[in-house]
Amino acid sequence: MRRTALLMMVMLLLGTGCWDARPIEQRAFVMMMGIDRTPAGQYRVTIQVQRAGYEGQAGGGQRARAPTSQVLVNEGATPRQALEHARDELARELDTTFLELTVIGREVAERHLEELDWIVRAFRVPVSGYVAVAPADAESVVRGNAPGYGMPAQFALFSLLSGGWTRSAAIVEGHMWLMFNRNFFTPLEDAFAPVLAAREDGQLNWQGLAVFKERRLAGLLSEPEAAHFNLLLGARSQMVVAAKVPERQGAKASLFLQTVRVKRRVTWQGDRPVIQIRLLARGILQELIGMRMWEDADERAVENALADALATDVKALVRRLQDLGSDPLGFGELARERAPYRREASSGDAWRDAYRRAEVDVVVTMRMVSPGYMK
Amino acid sequence: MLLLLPTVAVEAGGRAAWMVAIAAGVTGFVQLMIVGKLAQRFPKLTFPEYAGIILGKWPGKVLSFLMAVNFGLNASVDIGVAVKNLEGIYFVTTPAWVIAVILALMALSATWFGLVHASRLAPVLLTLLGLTFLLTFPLLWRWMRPGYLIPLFDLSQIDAQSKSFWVAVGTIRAALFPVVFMPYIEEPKKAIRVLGWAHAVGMVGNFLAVITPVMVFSPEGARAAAQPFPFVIAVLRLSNFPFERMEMLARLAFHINTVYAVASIYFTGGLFLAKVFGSKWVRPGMVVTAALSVIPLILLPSAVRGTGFAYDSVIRGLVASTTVFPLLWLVYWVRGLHRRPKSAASA
Repeated sequence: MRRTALLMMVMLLLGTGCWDARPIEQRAFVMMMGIDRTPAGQYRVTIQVQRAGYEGQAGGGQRARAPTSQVLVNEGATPRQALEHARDELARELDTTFLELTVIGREVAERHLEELDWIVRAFRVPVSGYVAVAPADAESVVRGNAPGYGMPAQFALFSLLSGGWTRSAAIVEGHMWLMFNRNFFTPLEDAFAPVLAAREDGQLNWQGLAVFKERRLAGLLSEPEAAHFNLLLGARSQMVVAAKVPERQGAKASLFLQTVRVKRRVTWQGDRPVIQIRLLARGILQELIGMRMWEDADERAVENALADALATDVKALVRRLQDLGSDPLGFGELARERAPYRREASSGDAWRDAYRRAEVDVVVTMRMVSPGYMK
Repeated sequence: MLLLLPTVAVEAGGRAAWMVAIAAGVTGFVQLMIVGKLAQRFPKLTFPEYAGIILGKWPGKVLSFLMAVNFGLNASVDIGVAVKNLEGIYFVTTPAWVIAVILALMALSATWFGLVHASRLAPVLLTLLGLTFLLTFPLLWRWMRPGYLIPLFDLSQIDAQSKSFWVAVGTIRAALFPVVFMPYIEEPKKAIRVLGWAHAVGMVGNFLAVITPVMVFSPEGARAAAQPFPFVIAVLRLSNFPFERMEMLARLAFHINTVYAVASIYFTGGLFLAKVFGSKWVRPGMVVTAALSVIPLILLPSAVRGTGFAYDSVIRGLVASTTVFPLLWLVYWVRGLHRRPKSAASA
């Protein structure tokens, strides 16, 4: 017993953090970070910092305790150097271990993404954190706000996660590691990240999706396109599909998708790849204007119309990605899995060439699980 | 060697890293059988003692001394990997050699009162390790893409001439277990069987640790990571769970198990040195082995980085275990020692 106690004591004493021991009140936590580039070629890093502290005094002589936050902006030759300058400004140790969201400014995303090496090299930057692209500068996003919350980082995080404030399918989750540790290295897949913008009133908003081509921003997709992207990714599918019913003149329908099962594969016709997408969608009818569903044929007509509309939108998305030369959905990897020794799937350049010429074949099967209260 | 095998297997094999892991497991198993079966012939005797019977008194002592030195240098690999596992994450300003010395002291204290005493930690450590695996791999499945492993049997991916490949093959030092534990086991025959099964279970864990980074990051992404495992666990984020960042817990669990492995090596080195110099005191030898394991980490930066010196040490260990024990077997048979009565083998 004494030996065990001695052993435990030795181990506990030796595990107190050594020279790196730093109590929580001596730390300033970076919750959100924005990275821009100045016209002079310097990196401009904007960070939102939280620290444990005291604010004023409540009645009865007790001190009220509330987290305090501030936004710091600093420049440097590299992002890390800019952050170092921020550290110099603070009386506390800058701690990035709780960095929730990194926002990359447009110019950095277009031309300098490979220079963000520090983000993925530093042990204290959590790769499970999220990454987003700003449509203009990242600083305005980090300075933005959300109603009822003094901490935009939390807004961005909660609205992003499923079960948060919104389940909008247009919000695509972009993880740091997915972009910097996987997609930037696989030759047959490209990276993507959601677009986060600050409106004129400072309100933060998700605005579609940024897609990349070989570590360069290739283009920005709109919110409906981002929703279809999420659908194909199998991530989120709760969205509304609307269509005219061609078999019933003047009829329109809309359906809220509950679940969508997606199958994607790439086959070959000669040297031309064929991107095949099969969707099995189930949803609840939300609107039916200009007709009633008295018979099965009516239901089939509505389902077919909605299926065709969704197929058209999905095909349009893939075509857009082909035009941008970006393959964030990983069709190249699918092509390689199916035919690992094919020349076109042997390298990024060979695939990109084949990808542009690829035929897109989308088939959607729509099943209406409920028509709502009405027929 | 949960912290080293994934790195070198991915370096050497890329998409086919899983085949390198299997090669490592098979090599370890063969070593285990060779060493274990020989140790079974000399129940209750330590390696220096039966090496002396097989080779003669002085050659046995020389061999045992060299083995002890080899163990000390190999332990530096384990400590270096453990330091790398912690440095930059838990310790940023603390110098690597300080962490190494603390780890060595921890390992020394774990085995200071003997191996049997230290072995009482094993159920706790195994439970911790098992829980970590249970919490991580099923959760990582969401991010895994088995397609990254296709084509499955592409041997062209493996660079068998690279140092990484041979380090991977030599990483599983299962042969250490019969050498260390056999004299303390009541039923040696059963021990070999149990060790074999333990090795198999351990290899399942190692296998998962090798293929997971490949399936999550892709072969190219895994290769670009300095330490693909346990880095891949950093992908996990468990909100509303006591451990939001599983990577931190996993690193601690693996670290503690590494300390235990190092403790076993220190004890073995100490025992060997005690037998070589005819002393009944194991502790001085343990201290010498510990010092031998820490000095390279203080003097050589590459030892901490886990490359260079560390790779050479593992390969040296592989060469030693694949030559010494087969040679001992050869001499054992040539000298006709297998025909001696069992009582003579226990003397």
